Amino acid sequence: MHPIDWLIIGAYLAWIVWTGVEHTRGSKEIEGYFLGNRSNPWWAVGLSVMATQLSAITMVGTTGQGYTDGLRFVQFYFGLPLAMVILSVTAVPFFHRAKVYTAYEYLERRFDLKTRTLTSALFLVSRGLSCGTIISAPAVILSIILGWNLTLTVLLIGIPTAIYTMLGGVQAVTWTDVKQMYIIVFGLVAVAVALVLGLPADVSLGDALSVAGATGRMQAFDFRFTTTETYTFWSGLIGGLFLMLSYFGCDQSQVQRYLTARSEQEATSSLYMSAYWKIPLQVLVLMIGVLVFVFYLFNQPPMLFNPVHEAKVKASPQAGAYAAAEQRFDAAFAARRDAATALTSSEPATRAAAEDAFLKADADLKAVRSDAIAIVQDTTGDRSYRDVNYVFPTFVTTRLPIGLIGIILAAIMAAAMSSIAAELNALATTTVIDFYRRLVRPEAPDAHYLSVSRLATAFWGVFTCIVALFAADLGSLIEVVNRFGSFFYGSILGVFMLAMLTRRASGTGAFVGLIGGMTLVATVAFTRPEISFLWHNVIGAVGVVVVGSLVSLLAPARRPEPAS
Amino acid sequence: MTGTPHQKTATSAISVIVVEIITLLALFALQQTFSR
Repeated sequence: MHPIDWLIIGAYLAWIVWTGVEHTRGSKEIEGYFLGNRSNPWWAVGLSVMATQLSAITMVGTTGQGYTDGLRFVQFYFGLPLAMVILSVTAVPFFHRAKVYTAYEYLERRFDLKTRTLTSALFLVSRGLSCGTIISAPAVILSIILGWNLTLTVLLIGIPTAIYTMLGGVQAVTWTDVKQMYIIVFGLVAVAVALVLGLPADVSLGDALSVAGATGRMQAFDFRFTTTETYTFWSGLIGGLFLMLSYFGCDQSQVQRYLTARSEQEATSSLYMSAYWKIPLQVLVLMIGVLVFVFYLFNQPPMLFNPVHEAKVKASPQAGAYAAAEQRFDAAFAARRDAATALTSSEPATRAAAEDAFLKADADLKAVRSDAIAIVQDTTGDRSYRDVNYVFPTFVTTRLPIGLIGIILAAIMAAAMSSIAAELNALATTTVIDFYRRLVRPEAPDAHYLSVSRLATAFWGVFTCIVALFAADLGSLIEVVNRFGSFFYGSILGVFMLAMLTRRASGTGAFVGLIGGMTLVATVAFTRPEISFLWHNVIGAVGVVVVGSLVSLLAPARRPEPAS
Repeated sequence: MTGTPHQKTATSAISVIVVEIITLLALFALQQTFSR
């Protein structure tokens, strides 16, 4: 990598850590450290909410999905705007008026201690693990680019983030998120422009999208009502709605963002920023993946995008077979390039034939790649090997001009660090507020809690780095993170639905309902693995509400509490 | 924006849903234009 790119990455890291440390001043007491004294403007909170959700996995995994599958993953977000509307009249006013530090604190006021403790423990387990996968994605990229070992790159991402989060608390997280969001959006727009400018002279953007469309990559909607297809219009709208309700309404890493807003109204406005911009932003990210696919129609791609595995195969007894596959791949690429060129210059009368020829050439190239992947799987013993997460970083580091490489890598690091910081901050808040202050030491000065909070942040920083080292070899990282969440998300949402929507639900009902909902999701996940994980959110939430309501009817609370 | 808090909430919610419908229609148009 060129020194200018290094300089850009170094400047980015210095700027972000400085911004974080600068906000240490406003974090001298616990409300400032965890909630920024509830003083932040809606736009900063809104950018922080978006930066928290948009991790490096979005930039690396989602562009990879755009490259292989096209736009269909965008359906995952169709329920998000509706979720924001529902949350603006439920969770936002409930939490703001209750003046809580964590979403789970509210559950004790409404139900009882055991329900609060169980939900906060589930949050700590699921988020602690998923935060590890959020670190591992950019760490894998850097380990490839720099040729360093993975431990070092995990620490390079994790330590600066843990330091500024530990020192500056939520204010450091929010204001670094704002700057990181600027870098991410700038980086995404810049790479999209570079891809369009990089098209061959006689291929317009319309031609490029038509070629991508011929392979099905412009197919954003799948209206089939099936529970076995992961991303459809209905799973995105219904399953996605439940997932987003749980993520933005019951997950401390997001709830804490909008608890820092100046007012209830500003908290709502911050969520509406995501409602308006998330789908267009996600289309941009996927479209970048589609355009990378088009770029590699006219410019030779590597046969496999993970150079580490490729090197292993070349040093193994399978090297001969791999070299033969490479020769076939070169020929298949040339044939596909010619077919793509013929398709872009075809007249309407010959277009169908040109399209068929192109699709056949594309299938031939895919077949060679499948053979190569099988060789890698045999050599490494890793049957789940996929290189989807390596497509975008390979393109960035080998095809973009000097300067832009540094900016995109800084944007990937920004995406990672903004999410990790919010998670660490939320994990520390839940540890201190829901466990330490509630169960271990209820009466202590703020200074004591502040020290414990910084220690808790450091602990979670180390924990997630360790998880990251194990998560690095998993398949498509974005699905791994979402699968982690879906085992708990729907059920936790169900508990909050019981709390906010009914006055009759009792603490015991909510607690038993939560266990019942999770048992139901686990049963479905293991006995009917073909059901898409997005539906687990619906099953969990409905399961908790049904079981919780029944138990509440059989064992009602002695003195029903009002719903707010 | 003027009006009671309830009116403001309703107006904002309707705006979000209208913008989502427009976004999805635009995406659908993009799909139909460039898909096979």
